[in-house]
Amino acid sequence: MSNPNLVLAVDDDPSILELVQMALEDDGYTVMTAADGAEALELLDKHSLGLILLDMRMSRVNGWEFAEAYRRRPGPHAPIVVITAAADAAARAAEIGAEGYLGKPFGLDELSEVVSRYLS
Amino acid sequence: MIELSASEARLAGNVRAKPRPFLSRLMPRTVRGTLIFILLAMLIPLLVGEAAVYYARYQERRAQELEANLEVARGGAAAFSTFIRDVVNTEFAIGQTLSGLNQPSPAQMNGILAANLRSYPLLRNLNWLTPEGKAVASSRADVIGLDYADRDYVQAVRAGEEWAISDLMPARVDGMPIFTISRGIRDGSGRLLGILVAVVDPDKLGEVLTVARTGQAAIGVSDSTGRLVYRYPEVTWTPATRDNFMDEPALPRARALGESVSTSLKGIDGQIRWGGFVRVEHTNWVAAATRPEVEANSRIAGEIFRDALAFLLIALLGAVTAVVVGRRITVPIKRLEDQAAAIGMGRFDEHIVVAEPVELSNLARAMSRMGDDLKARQQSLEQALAEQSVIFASLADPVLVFDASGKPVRTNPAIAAVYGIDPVSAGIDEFVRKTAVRHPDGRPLVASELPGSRALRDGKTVTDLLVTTDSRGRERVVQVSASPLVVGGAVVGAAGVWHDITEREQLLGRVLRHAAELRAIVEGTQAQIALLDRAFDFVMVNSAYEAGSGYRRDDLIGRNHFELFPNAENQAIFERVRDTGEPYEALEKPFQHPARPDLGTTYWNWVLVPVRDKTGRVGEVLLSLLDVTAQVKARQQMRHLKEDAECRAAELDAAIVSIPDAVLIFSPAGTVERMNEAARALLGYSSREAKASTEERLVWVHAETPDGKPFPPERAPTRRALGGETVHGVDMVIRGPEGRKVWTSCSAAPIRATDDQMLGAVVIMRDITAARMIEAERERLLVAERLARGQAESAVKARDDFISIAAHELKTPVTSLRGFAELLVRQFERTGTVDYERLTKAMAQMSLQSVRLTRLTEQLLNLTQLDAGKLAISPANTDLHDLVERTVESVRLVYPDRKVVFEGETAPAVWVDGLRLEQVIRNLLENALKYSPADSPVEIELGWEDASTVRISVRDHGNGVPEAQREQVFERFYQGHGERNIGGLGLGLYISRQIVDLHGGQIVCEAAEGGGSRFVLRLPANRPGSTRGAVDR
Repeated sequence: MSNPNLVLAVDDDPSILELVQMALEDDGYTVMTAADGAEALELLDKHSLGLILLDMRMSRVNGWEFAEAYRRRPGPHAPIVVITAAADAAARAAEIGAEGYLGKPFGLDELSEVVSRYLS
Repeated sequence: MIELSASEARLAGNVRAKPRPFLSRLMPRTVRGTLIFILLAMLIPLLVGEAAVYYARYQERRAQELEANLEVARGGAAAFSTFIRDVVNTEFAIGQTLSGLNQPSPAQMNGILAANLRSYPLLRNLNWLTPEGKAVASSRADVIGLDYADRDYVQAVRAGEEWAISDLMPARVDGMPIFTISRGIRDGSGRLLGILVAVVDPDKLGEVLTVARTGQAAIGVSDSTGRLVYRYPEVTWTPATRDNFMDEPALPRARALGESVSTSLKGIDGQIRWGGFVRVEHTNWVAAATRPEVEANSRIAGEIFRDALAFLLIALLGAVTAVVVGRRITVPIKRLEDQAAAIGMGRFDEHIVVAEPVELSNLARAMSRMGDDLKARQQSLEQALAEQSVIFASLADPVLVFDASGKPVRTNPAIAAVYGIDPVSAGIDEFVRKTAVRHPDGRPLVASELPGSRALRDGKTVTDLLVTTDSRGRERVVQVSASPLVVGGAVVGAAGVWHDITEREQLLGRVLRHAAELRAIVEGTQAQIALLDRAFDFVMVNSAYEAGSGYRRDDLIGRNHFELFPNAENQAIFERVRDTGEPYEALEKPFQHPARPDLGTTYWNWVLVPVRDKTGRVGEVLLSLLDVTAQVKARQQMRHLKEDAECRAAELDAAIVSIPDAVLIFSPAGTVERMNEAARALLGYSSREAKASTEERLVWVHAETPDGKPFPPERAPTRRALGGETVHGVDMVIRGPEGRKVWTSCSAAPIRATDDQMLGAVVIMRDITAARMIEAERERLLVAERLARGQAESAVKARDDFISIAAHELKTPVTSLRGFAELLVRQFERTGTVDYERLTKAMAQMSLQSVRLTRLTEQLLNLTQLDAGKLAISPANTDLHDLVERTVESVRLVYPDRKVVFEGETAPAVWVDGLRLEQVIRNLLENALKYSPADSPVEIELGWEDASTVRISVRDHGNGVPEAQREQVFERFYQGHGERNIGGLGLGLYISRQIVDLHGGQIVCEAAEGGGSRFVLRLPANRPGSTRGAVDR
């Protein structure tokens, strides 16, 4: 059973995670955070998610590796939104088959808008 | 069969003793004993006879003694009887007077009595009693008036006895011992008128009875009760002495029979006495005469002793003689016995001489001779034993001796020498196993099948052929011959000799093989061999001869050679050989077969050898013919070929001289046989080097492979070509005669004869130095170009990566800054207020992110300056201790949870750019904190490396930097591969090193002891002469 309001934010920058968590909780979502792909994969075992916000550049299991591992898992998959500082964010999202993307630096409105698009 | 000691068995049979006859059993078993026995046998009957005589004499003497005593007693009894009768008669006379018609007055009576008493001194007193027994008159006044009616003698008289004698009794008046003799006085009618009593003093009886006797002989009188009344010699009277004979049986016997004797009388003096006893007539009194037995015997014994003494002397003399004679025999016998014992113990030299008796003297001589014989025999036996021992020990063949149970008990050294095992100590089974004893057909053998065991069992000699394995693992063929050891008809053991016939067998095998080989050779040789007798008839031919002659072997044997192959010249040769005995030999003798003109001329090597019989005469001749036609023809052809080859060689020489490449021709041994001028010029070989080996030549020309290693000899073209290989284009660098390096391309090929025989090798070396140098230059250029292009490409790639990273690094803090700002704004817009907690958290994040941005910007600026060569330092006198402390404090603010330990010496002012150095130190500290576990400390030290160098080191407890990357970390854009992506541009250490370089110092990364990294920064303490303003880029 997926929790439509549960968002998993994965980023190796603690300030970004804190920001995303505070902003989305203000919007009424439940937010879990993970500092890298490995941590995120562990959380997937225990929780059903509505959406994954995924940073691409991480040391231990980066965005590409996480996405590949996630897609290989059985069962329903939550949509992934890529967060990246790269100029071609859309291309990165396409690379891993993500549903959406969010280019750094992003405003809170953009964040809210993207999240609400996948979590009605 | 080995007979050891049959005589011993015979000896054992004789020892058994026969039962001795009865008489002999009584006989003593020694000589001395026998002599004494004989002596006793003679003396004892004599002694017995003598004793009988003495006994008879003794008996006679005793009877005489008893008779003598009886005589004396008879005399005594008669005297006493006479005395009584005399007293009784006297009493009658006195009684007639006293009782007559004219009865006297009492005083007259007393006077009459007293007057009569005086004529009888034996009497004490005389009494006159009334018939009633009352004393009316007496010679003693004190008696008168006394009444004696109670006395026996009174009553006896009153009862009618004419007279009576009393026994001994005490007198009534004074108690003294007395006895009485009484007489009744009667009238004509028998009426008792009165009794006259004579009182006798017994001690005075000696006057009546006195008989002189010798020694201690005695006489005596006893009354009717046996009480002794009188004894001579006198004794002191006591009741015991009086009554001494009262129980003596001889007294009643004498009273009854009148006389008796006794030899067992116990005398008053305590001695046993012999005596005779006689009754006193008309009374019961007894007179006795006795003599002590001792006294009587001593008289007899004295006589007997005198007689016996002579006899004893004779007996003693006999005994002494026996002893002396005995000694004369037993002493020599003892000496003979000692000698026999000595011989028994092997001391044959102890001879004794016995002078007498002659028999023993002879015996002693015989024993001495026997000792000598035994000694000689023992010596020869010992010698034989010693010889046998030596032979046994030195026997080359192993010898094995078994006891009766089949256990090995003795071996000679050969067995251990051959087999390396001693069956006596190891046991027979182990020996059989270790030596792998087996039958010739390979079947293994067990111990019980050994010839020794069988000889023991069957009692006869067994011979067998066996195969063994000796201590060195070689196979030995042995002929084992084993015989039983028989002693006294019993098998007591067995001995086996292991005769090694391996060599004989091998020799036999070789001989047989040689014979077979010889036959095969004769049969198989191409030479035609025939044996002919003196008449030249064929005796034997081989297959080759059979084939060459055109006849079958059976047709040849017995036929005459010259009948079949008539040839006068050859017959002459045959006859000369037969007659002179000189062998004939001819090489390549041409021969035209008479029957086969189609074969043309053939060539034969002839050998005709005389074969001599035992007498030395030539009995047969052996003809050996070898068809050498082919060889002769081949040699002729070879001569043609050689001429041809010499011609060719000259042509070849001319050809190789004209070739510009170096050409060398090698012998099969690898020495240079021929070379052209070009080779001589290239290699500078003289004749000496030409004779050297390939290895030595390679060293001489400094041969190398193109990459500069010594040329391996096994890869040398010469060597390979001589090994049959054809080689093309092997590059070899050599040093020519002028020391110039020459690149050559070598080709080589083997030279073979038509029959593939290796004749040598040809090597061609082309100088390719010029071409090689051109090619090398081209390659160098190519590499340089490739390098430059690679560097350019990687620079572009690095720049792209850097931009990507920089964008990420820059955009992340901007996102954060912007986001937290919007978060505050949005809350304010939504609620009209901002809660304090959120505000402080957002502000802290914004402050942190702005610092991060500043840092990144600063780094980018530094990079730009560095790239432009414009990074400048502004040195000033700076207190390093202060500076480090300050930097540590500022880092602690950012990492409040981490432990940063600073240990520093106070440093003097150092000429550095304080701000830049702080940047460097902060970068080192932050790296240390980022790349180590959160609970581990980071240590920074400040100190002096030496007098002119200050040293700052930062140490962490992280994973450390692999050695290969310790220099790379200082390159630009280098990203550490830690557990977490720490972020950053990868510029920190790059910029740090540039700054340190500008200060004339150095910075390195080391592995810290116990794990982790240490970054060490060294700075010159003194102000440099000139300070560069910028890094040269």
